[in-house]
Amino acid sequence: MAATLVSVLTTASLWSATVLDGTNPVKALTNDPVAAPTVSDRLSSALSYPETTGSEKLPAAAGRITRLTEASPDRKEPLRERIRSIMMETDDPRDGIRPSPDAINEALRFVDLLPADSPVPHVSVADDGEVNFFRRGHGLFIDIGFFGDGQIHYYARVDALGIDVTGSEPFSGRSLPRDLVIPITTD
Amino acid sequence: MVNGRSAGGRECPEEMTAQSVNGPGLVLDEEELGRFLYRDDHLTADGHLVPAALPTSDLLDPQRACLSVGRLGHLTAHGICRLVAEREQKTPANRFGGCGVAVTADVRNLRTPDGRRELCVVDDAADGFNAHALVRLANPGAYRRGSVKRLRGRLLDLFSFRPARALLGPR
Repeated sequence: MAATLVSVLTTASLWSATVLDGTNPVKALTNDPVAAPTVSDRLSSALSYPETTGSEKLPAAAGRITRLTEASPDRKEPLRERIRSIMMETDDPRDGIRPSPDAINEALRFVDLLPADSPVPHVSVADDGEVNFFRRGHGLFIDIGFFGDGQIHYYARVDALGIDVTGSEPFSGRSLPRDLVIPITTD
Repeated sequence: MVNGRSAGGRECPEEMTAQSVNGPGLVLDEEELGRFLYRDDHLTADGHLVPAALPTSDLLDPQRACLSVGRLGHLTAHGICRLVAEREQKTPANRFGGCGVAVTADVRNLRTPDGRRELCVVDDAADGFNAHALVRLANPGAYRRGSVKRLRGRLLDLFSFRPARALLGPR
């Protein structure tokens, strides 16, 4: 019994260590040299939804992961409301293509993935049906779009960090492209 | 130099062709181009255009392959009011808020890393909208949805917002 408890606590503390300082506990125990993960690696890992169903138990450190991905009602709910309101607009006889339900859904899932404390982007709709997230600042430019084609289309530039990335990648709603992890958390 | 230093060239020969004898002719480098804005969400709270004001499909779609802009120097307040009224009648949800304004030469001077033109600005005088121009990719095959966003970002930097009252007031 005591041995089991020690084992559980050890496992839990190793998971915590993984999340807290980014080292691989297994590699650390075996003294196997391993390259330290980059900030991008750590954030990318933290921003991915665990591949579990609702009834499955998460590892001990899941609470820390959840804390990063958990909705912050004050900051994210207005974004969701804004996106839901786009659905209401779709009956308006406006010019242009309206966002598809898939585009709306992808946009909502993207909001779910935003870290709770990340800066809030501006949401808008283009006449070609794109649901767009946009943020700019000094030396910062982020343009992320969803068309309902199962992809995330993006351009991000962070001058101070030498980041200038663009691309289109499949979007499942479970994780963000690695390229975007640092830009979306940069204030 | 008929049309300034930026027009024409290998990538954009049609910049040297006027579309209608009834229109204002070639688009000159010093002309202001106005992108009409009809949605509140196409401006940030501090009055800057957002990417959605310049749809990427307008540049990439082979059927359209261009962004529609007005040549402000050839549009009177009355002409703008007429265009806006037509649009708002056709699509009642639209409300004219103003224009994103850029100088033609700046758009023409956007270059690829190897120095080629990114965008062409061409006359598109048409019945009912003589002061119409098009901004289109000089090399459409070089872009996809993701990569065209980088160009859109650079293009966006060239546009500043001019509110409706400034466009429709005394000129």
